[in-house]
Amino acid sequence: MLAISAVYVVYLDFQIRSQFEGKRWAIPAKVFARPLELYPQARLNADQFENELNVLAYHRSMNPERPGSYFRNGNNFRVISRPFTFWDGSEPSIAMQVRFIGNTLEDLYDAESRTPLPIVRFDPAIIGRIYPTHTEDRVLVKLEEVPPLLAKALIAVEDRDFYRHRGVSLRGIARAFVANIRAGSTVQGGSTLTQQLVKNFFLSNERSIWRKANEAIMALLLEWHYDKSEIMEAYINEIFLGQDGKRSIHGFGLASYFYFEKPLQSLRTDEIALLVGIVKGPSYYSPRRSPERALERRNLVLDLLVEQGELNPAEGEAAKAEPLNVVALEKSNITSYPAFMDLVRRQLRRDYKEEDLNSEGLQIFTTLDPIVQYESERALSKWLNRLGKSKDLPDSELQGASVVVSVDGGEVLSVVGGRNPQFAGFNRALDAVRPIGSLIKPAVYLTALQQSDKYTLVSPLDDGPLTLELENGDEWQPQNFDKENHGMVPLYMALSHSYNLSTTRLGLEVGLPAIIDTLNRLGVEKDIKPYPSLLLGSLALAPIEVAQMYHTLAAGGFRTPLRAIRDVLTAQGEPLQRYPLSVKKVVDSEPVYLLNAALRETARRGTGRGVYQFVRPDLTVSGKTGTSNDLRDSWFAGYTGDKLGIVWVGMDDNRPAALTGSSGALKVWGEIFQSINTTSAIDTPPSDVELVTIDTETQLLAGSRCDSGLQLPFIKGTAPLEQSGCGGSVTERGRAGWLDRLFNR
Amino acid sequence: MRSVNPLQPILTIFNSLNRLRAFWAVLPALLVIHGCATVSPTSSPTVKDDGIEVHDEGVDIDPFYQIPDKDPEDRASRSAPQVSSKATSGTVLALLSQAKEQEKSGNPEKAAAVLERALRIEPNNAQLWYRLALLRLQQGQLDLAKSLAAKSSALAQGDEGLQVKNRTIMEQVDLLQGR
Repeated sequence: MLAISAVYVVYLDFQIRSQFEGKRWAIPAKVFARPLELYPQARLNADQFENELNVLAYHRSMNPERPGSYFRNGNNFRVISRPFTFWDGSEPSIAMQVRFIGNTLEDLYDAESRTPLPIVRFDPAIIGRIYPTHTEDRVLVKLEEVPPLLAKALIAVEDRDFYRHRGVSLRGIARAFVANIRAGSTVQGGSTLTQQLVKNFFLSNERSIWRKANEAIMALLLEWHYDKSEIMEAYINEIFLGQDGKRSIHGFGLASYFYFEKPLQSLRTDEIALLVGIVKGPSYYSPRRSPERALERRNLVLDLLVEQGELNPAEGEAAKAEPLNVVALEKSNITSYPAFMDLVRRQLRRDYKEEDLNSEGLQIFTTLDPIVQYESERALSKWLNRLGKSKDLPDSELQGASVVVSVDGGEVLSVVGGRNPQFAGFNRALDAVRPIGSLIKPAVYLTALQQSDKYTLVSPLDDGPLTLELENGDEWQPQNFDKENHGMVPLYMALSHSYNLSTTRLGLEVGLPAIIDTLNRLGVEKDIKPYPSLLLGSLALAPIEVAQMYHTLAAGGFRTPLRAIRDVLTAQGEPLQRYPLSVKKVVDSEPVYLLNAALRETARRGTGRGVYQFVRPDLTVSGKTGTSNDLRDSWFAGYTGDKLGIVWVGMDDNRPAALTGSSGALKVWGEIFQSINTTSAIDTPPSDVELVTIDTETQLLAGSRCDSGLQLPFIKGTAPLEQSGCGGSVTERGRAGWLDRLFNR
Repeated sequence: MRSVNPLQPILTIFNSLNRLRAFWAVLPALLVIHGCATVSPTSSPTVKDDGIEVHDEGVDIDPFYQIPDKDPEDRASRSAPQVSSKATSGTVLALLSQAKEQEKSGNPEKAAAVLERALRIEPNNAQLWYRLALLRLQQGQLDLAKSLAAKSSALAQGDEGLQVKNRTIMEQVDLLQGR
């Protein structure tokens, strides 16, 4: 019997030690959104700014005094920023005065010295943590960083004899026994902090004498191996303090963010007292669900602290006068971007081992723009609901995904992986590999426009019936979407109206290998088979891959690998790794400029014209719709001067959703780009390009009598020389004559 | 307790040093002193230009040549260098001088990070792309330097001065790569 007991104790000893050692050092990587940068003339309005402050859990107050607080009066703000250390330096806390006029930040100056500030960088929002596969999360704190009052309060409330007992306190049990008999029910537990810690390690709620006995033995063992401060530190980092869906909130470090959205070190007396009060029953005393009960419990803790001399009565009363000050749950929901986090994890996994990510406390600075992400999620949900209803699809069957990228840095600003953006399941933005339909066409036309001696934007293309004999002997008869033939059409119009017959002919003329080469240059890293059906978009890509391809077009022929991470610092703020901006010129800027003009025409008057039901009329948009066979996939890819967005809409099981690119994905794109800050492209043609006004009837130079002129770019020396009479006679003019009509820009 | 080993700081600077090593083999001497790469001897044309100075002993590259050292506050009012048609803002000038400070204290990657911040604010500022190109050239990241200079050129339509500077970078890269 004795031998069995001894073996059992050794077994318990092993268990408790491995738990204790294993838990103490696993610090998950912290993942941050991009920091907000304020500077004069920044495109931002007062409401958007306040939204950002709310995402950062800045506290609105009549008289802001602490870092992380602000006051707003209409378009005027006084803000005290929090200090923060970035890759390229530390930002101090700054008290600033900010004024907006409309959508522009007008004034930014230091509130104390009254001098203008050229730029202010805020602390970034935490968007998630990378922790081991079980759904636990931790913000580890060291005992010396913890406010001294926290440990004192824990001892006062939970275990008065902490520094005297050896793991189990008979005095504590006796006191609880008396208290419970007096109250007639269980009002006080006799467990020491050490026993509670052991209980937390094994997370069993079974109430049995066996469990109690095991706990007691393990508590004694723990006290034998470790000293009081180690146990206190582990307790502070381990104890269960709340539940957020599937996520358990363990430790005061995380709880501090969960309830107050700020670090433990910044908590005030009343906030510490609330957290200590919650320990007894995080669900029963939940300050969000049962605020009165939580308040009562908090005040009881404060009374106890005054009674034991840890606070003077005035401090106690002041703390009791405070409201609960708990932030709303969605603000504390720090893992609310699963699709973006998925991309971050994948990028990190190329460079780091999983265990380093979830144990070394790395700080990961991403490119996520919380505002763009929010608007993308909202737009996708809204339109998937609306489109699903219009097609009589059962709820939640229609799916979608979106990616928004910055044009110049190739930074991924938002990723939405499905209609329920909080759901960390199938990430369609990265993993739904679907035929891209007509989104392929810009690659076909770009290949042609690179041969400037053969093709211009007004080259006539044959859009008549076409029959191809395939290698296997089958015949293939591509058709236009409207089942019509359009005869001879100018090249730009074949693209802007997404004609299939003329595109197929053009593609075969320039050759499939050349088109595949263009696709590879643009950043499609797949092995692409040279089948003619490629020309109409049989190629299947995920939205993020389409984003890479279109990014190169948006960036004028410069390819930048898309990035979700800017840099990584160690837990101590030391620079570890940077993902620098890199560009590579892959296509000459002239043909890309021509193609972009045709894609702009697509958004103005072609298949993408629906975007102007959403965005302001002066915004330059280059865009392309895509629809796969039998309306299974609805795509839209479009960009402005500074942002590129890709949207896919369809069904997970590949059934037809009966939506075209313009009746489906385009709406989502329009809604996103209507809501976010974006600017037109600055239109500087390359030096070898000239802008010429063309008569859209004859595709010749527009004469003075023409009322249907369209300005198009041409590589110098390739524009038509003949002038259209526009109803009159066609006259041939010398170069000098029509040069006068060029726009001088 | 914490294993640091798998997380040796693999700073990108090391990569660039590796690349530098590659052309030590080709070019007899390349010194990196105080952030200034001196490449010698080359038969490059003698161009005395913003940031790149070619003389008998080699090439000096200073990405922040002509960026004033003063505090950002009173620079907003100064006459800014003209880029394309739009003037560089006080904000970007402040960041340029921060980048210069980082560069001077031997932190080229921090300088690059500051330049990228500036580029997020003024993505079409050809001057910024040019500074970044110079910085990468100085770090020996030749292909990247060349592409960045090309990007700057594409944005600097009508700015002949900047076009010349960018061409100088591209020619330097070709020379160093023996093209």
